[in-house]
This record gives sequence, structure tokens and C-alpha cells, in this order.
Amino acid sequence: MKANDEAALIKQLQCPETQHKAFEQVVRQYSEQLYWQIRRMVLSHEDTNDLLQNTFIKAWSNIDSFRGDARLSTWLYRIALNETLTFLAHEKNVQTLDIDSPEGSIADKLEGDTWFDGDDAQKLLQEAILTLPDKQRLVFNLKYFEEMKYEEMSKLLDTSVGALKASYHLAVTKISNFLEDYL
Amino acid sequence: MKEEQEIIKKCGKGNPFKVPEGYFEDFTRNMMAQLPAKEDAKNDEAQTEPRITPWQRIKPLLYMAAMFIGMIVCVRAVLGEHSNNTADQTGINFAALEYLLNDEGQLSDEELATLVDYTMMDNYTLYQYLTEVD
Repeated sequence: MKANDEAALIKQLQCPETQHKAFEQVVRQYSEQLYWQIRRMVLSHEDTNDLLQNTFIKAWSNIDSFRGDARLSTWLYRIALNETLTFLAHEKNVQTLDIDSPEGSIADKLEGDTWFDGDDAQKLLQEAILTLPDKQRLVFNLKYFEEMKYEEMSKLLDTSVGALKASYHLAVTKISNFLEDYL
Repeated sequence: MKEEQEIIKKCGKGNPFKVPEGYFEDFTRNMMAQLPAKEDAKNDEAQTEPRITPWQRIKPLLYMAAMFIGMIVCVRAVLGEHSNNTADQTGINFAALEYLLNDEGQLSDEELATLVDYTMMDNYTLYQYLTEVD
């Protein structure tokens, strides 16, 4: 979204009379981008749908406190990422407590998932990505699939460019080693 | 990065995930239908917001003051008791010693050693008492 358009939209969001309509435009504008960000982390369509809705509900609840200091997209991305990371942490705790389920149940979601359309190599890549810690996985997805610039990622994740570069480099090395055993 | 190029060569950058047909088109409409009305939320917040009275403001400070006073009283009671006990013990020690000395006139070395051990007086304190030296 262009800077002028975004500024106008933010102004509408801050005005009670136009807020609802402006928020509808925000949902329409950003839902697909946010969806894919979340989906690459949680893999399941159903979970992604829930998290996406939670993201917009949180954004709506806090819209009055949004002052336009950051870009609208950055603000929304941060809410989405926080929701996602919280969800993943909760899933890990549940898996730890559930002694009957086999290990790697997030990876198991790919198996037989109606909404996964990848070939064997892509499935293997997703499994390799799943071996990374959540935040490193996030960095890898943003750089590899979204081709996001480090400077933009730095603002989004509030982490230095150097740290992000190191994280991505390590992630690539781990995934490369993982794939070597299979491909 | 060479390793990155290898991964791209093997696996590509394509999106392996898909969504139900019409998902994004319907999402906005469904999402807006779920949002709570802003005015209702604001009214609820205004109604439930409590009015804080001056008494409620100073109550925590009074509780803290009462707690500190209680602590000071307890500490003084314990220390005062301990001091009294120490004084009593000292008094009994010397009274017992005086009784023995006055009654018997003399103490055997063994009796004296036992008494000193019992009273836990050091040699100098005992010397002071017996010789009345300052």
C-alpha cells in the first residue's frame, strides 16, 4: 500500500464514524498476506484460519491505541506473529504432556492433509524447516519464501540485521544438512 | 549463498499449501460479522469502570503502616524478653555463686570448676567477681 493511501486509511481508522468501514478495508487488504505468514508456521489451514481471525479481533480491540508510529502492515504482522508463536508454544506443551502421541505431530499434519499440495521434495523441505527453533523458522520463511529484505525484517521482529543474517545462515546450513541425507 | 542455491535447486520456492475455494473472498465478510461493535465495547467499559474513593486510595498505606508497627512490636517483644532472660541468667549465676561461697565458706576446685562450666563464665569474669576488681 502506498504511503499516502496508508496515511489516509490510518486517519479513517482513528475517526469513530469511518472506523468500521476503514477496518473492513484493512482486513481485505492484509488478510491474504497474513494468512500465508501464519500458514507457513503452523501448516494447518484450520489453525491458520483461527489465528488469522484472532489477529484481526486483537487488532480491532486495540485500534484506538494505534498511533501510526509504525506502518500498518508492520503492526498487523507483529500481532499475527505473536499469536502464532504463542500458539506454537502451547502446542509444544500439549505434545510434551501427551505421552500417547508420537513425536513430531506438527509434521504429521502434512501427511494426508487435504490442503497440502506439495511434492516429496517440498514435503521434505517443510520437515527440515520444522527442525528449526520457532523464531529461526520464522526468519527462514520470511527470507526464503517472502524474499523480505533484512532491514524490513529487522523492523518487524525488532532484531538487528546482523542477528537476522546469522540466524538465516545457520538455518540454511541446518536445512542443507538435513536434505543431504534424503535427496 | 551456495547452500541456499542448493536448497532452491532441490526443493524450489513454490507454495505447497492451498486454501478452500473462495476462502479469501469470504473471509472479509465473515470477519466483519464477528467483530464486536465498538460503541458497545466502549459503553461497557465506561459502566464497569469503578470510581476510586479517597478511602480506597489511603487504605493500602494504612495496611502497610499497621504491618510495620506490628513487626516493630514483635521484634521489641522478642528482644526485650531475650535481654531479660540474659539478665536473669547473670543474676542467678552470681546469686548461686554467692550462696555457695557464703554458705560453705569455700569451694573445692572440682565444685568451682563445675560451677564455672555451668555458668559459662570465662576466667576473667570469675576473677573480677572474686576479687572485685573493675
